[in-house]
Amino acid sequence: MTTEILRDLAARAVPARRVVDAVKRLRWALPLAIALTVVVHQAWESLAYESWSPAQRFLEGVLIYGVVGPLVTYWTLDWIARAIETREAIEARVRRGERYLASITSGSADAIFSLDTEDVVQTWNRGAEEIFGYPPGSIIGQHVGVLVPESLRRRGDLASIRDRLFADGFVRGYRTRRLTHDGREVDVELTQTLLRGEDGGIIGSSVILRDETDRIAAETAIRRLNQELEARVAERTRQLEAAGTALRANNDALVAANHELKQLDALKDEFVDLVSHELRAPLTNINASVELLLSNGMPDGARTKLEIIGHEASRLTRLVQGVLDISRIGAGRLKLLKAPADPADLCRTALMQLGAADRDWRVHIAPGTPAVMADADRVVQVLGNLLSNAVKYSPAASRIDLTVGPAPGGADVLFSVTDQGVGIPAEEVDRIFERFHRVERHDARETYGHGLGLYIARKIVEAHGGRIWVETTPGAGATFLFTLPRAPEEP
Amino acid sequence: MNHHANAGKPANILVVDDDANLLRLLRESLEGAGYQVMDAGNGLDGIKQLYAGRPDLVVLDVMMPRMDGWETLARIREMSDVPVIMLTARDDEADRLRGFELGADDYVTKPFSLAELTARARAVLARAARPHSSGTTPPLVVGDLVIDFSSRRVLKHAEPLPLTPTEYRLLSTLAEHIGRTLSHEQLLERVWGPEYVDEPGYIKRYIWYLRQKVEDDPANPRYVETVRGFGYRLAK
Repeated sequence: MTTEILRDLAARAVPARRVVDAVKRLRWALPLAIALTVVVHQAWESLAYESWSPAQRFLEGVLIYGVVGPLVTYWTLDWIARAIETREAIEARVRRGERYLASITSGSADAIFSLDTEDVVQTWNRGAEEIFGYPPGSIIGQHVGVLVPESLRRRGDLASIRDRLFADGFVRGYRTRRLTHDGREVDVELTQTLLRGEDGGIIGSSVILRDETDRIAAETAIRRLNQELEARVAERTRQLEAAGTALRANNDALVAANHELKQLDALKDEFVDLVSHELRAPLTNINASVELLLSNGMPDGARTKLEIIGHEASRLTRLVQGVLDISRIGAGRLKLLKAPADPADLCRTALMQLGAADRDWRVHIAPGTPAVMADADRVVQVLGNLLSNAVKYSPAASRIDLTVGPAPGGADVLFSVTDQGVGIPAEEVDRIFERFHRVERHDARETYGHGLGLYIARKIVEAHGGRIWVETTPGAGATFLFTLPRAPEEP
Repeated sequence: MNHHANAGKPANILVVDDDANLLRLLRESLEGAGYQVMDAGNGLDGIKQLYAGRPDLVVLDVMMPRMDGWETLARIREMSDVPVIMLTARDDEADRLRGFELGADDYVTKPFSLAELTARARAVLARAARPHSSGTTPPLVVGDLVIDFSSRRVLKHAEPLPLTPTEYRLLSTLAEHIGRTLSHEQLLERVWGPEYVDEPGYIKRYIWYLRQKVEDDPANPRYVETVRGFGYRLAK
């Protein structure tokens, strides 16, 4: 029985070499042990048997056949049993592994099949059945060529695969097409590997075909989307280019318009120059003529009319001056010749230039008022404008205050001109310093000024780094205030 | 050339303008004020008249055809230090400054009143009439400054300073009394004229201008010193 088991064990190719070796050793060990036992016994018996008592002979027989023999047998069988157990455990693991392996193959969505050396199908998994529509029974034993479309077969598709297979031992990522049972062509990616037997000889090949139809369809869709996208990009680019062309055209038009505007601006400058010179020269002569005539003593009637001419010529002169100032401010050409100036001097000069006016003048320069850093002529112009406004908009003999002192904070000097006139409506207060703005008066008998004076005054004050504003109560007069920076202390 | 009006003889004024009407008006006005008047309708004639008539003052229009007022002034300055008042129809500050640095003594912007022009003419003539040390005093050296009375020039580090006539008069007046303090009134009378003694504002302004050009650090002057509450002096 032992031998049978041993033979059986030996006959089966068991991968666990250790167990086989043990059993092989036992095959010799057991008979040897028995033989040795018999020889020892027989030798002993032949030498000493005669001198032994029956009891000794009995004990000796029991010892050898009853104890040693069974022990050797038990020991041997125990080893064999363990070896078999071990082998069965290993075989179970291997079978389980094979089942997994087989289920991977059989359950795969890819077509997996094997070919013999003549490319005849040997195995055929479920994936292959799904993809190609052949049940295993109808394809196993057939040449793999039945799966190759006619056109590819003619081009030697299989031959080229074989060449590469035998050259490298495998083919991977080979894109081709295969034919299904119902004549459809499917795109596949082929991976084929040579199979070798235990002796290393080639026994065939395994083939994995992955159905690429969906992937290619997806790729095609992506490509189509890409193309659509590219088309849209191209279309958009075309639109943008068109827009760009339109923009360039617009730009050209703007450049042309700008050029025209510049020409107009130059024309305006020329015109201002013309006004500057050609209008001032005759005004000079008119003023001078009037002045001479008046100084020569005229009859009263003529004198009144000459005074009117002189007055109107002065108005025209101021208007021309205002227009020139506006033009200079607009062109950013208002340049200041700044130097320390005494506020008292500035006020005196402004009052002197204003001339006689029937008003109750109250001039107050706070003691210790510092010098201002200013273009004296320009500040006199501002003061003159505020003072003449005060005269214009206040009743005869009313009080006008001209007050100068350090501004709160100390860095500036504050000038203010207060009249007791009609004041300025609240809604006008913010706008009176704007260009060409003039307060509308319902009771106005005549309109004074040109709406330029306060704008020019603001620009001059701001160019000095000062601020100008008005505080007013309609009907109760107005106070115009402005600040100028103080001059640095004289070294 | 002596342009100083003699006490008994009325001063001679040359008026140069291309506007014949204005020439006529100026002549009448100035003659009415007691001056002798010559006139010229363009710059070239003006220079000829300057040679022939040796006027005490030139009133020169800026805007003239062919040779304009600036060029005429430059030609005049090449040969004479006769006082010049410029008439300008453009009151741009650039014009104003340019006129001063080219050696104009004053300027009047059109339209001006005849009374104003006459007053300016009187002031400039009075200034010019005061004896000054032109030609007799050797150049004065103060630190890096050289004040050359004969050529009416001031050099700093050997470079001429672009002083206006008023600035030059202010500096040369201080230089003539170097080390001594001149009061505001003294300076006004000597630099601007007796009729200006009540205009202290001029002093402060022109001292400031002068320091901007003369001093290395105008905030810490080493030449033009302030004597607080009294006046100014040129430091030795």
